[in-house]
Amino acid sequence: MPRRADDQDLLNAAARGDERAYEQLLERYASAAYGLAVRVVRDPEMARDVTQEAFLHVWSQAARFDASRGSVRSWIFTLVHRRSVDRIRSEQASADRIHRVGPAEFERPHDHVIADVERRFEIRRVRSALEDLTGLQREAIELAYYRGYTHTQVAAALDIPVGTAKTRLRDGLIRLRDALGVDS
Amino acid sequence: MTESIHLLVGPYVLDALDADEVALFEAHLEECEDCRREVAELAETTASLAYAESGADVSDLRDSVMSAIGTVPQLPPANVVGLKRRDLTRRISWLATAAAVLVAVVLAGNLWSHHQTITAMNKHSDEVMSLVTAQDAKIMPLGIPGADSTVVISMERDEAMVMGSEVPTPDKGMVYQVWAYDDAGNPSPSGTWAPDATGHAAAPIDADLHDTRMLSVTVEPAGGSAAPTSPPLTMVELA
Repeated sequence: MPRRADDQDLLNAAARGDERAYEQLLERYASAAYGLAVRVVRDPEMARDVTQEAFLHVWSQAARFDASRGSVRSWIFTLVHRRSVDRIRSEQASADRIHRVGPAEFERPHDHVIADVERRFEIRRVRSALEDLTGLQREAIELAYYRGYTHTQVAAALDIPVGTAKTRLRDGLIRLRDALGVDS
Repeated sequence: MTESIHLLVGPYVLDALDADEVALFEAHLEECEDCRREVAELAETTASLAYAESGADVSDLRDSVMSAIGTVPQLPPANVVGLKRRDLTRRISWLATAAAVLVAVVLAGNLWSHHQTITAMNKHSDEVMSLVTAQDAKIMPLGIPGADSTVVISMERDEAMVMGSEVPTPDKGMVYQVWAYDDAGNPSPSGTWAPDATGHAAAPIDADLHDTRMLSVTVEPAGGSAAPTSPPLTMVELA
């Protein structure tokens, strides 16, 4: 990704209190971040909260970002994803959401018009890489990432041993990595 | 490294481990360079998955984040905050002096009423004693500009105090106010205070410390505000 160094520059500037630089990061990633959150938590209001929390964390922790652990982009999405998953797990604890939604149906939120061609291209690439996985790898990854299942829940939902679920998640990601190319 | 723990890389980057397993795996990560590399790589791949969906129009969300950052303080780089040896020695000397004076005063009975420099601590002498004698008491630089200021914290007792000397007197009708930030960066009012005539200050911090990630200090109208109305003078991360 050519914009990677760029992101790091923006984050460095944001860490020094540059709100314009921060806003550019927000423009780049807020939409995708929100899309991810809404896909995981389903509830648009909750997704907004989660996304906002994650971005405020980026603002307050910008100076602490450790580039040796990954890119800015992956940091942002990890923050959003982790918070989303935490929300639904705490909901699951009270009202068993898995049963309300059911693992087999796979709803996609309505597509919105996006002006960003680069992003549209990225979407196509990711979807096609997902299509290239084995059925089990794809299902396992989608349940874990988009639905917030733990690997044990993935195993139960797909009726496979826990060890197999772990392996499929890792194999699937490695295959995706090879298809998408490592960001560097 | 066992084969089975290495397999947790996949579930880990997908946030598909439960809390116990996360702790276990992260302990392993500290020791396993292969796993660290794989986590970094696969985390990039995982980030791409966020793009399997078209995004929505989030301009109002962006606006609300931009207006919220005005009240969210930014942490300095990791090596600046925290307890550096040098700072610690310097801060301890002031606190040790204060504590020694206090002990002397307690022993000497009413002699303390004459001791001008500790008037501020006088009001809170019980809290100060309780804090400085706590086994886990931690002293951190608070960093109010122009002042020698510290935060003393005991998680065990769930108590914390602001202490300072040479603290600039705020403008007329204004006070210092402490804010405690939770994980999400939301500030809660945690007490107002002002230095005495000699620039000394000691005031309890009224916050649930276990839910507090950061403290900041702002200047607010007397009586305090419900939310910060001025930029933070300083902020401290609680480890």
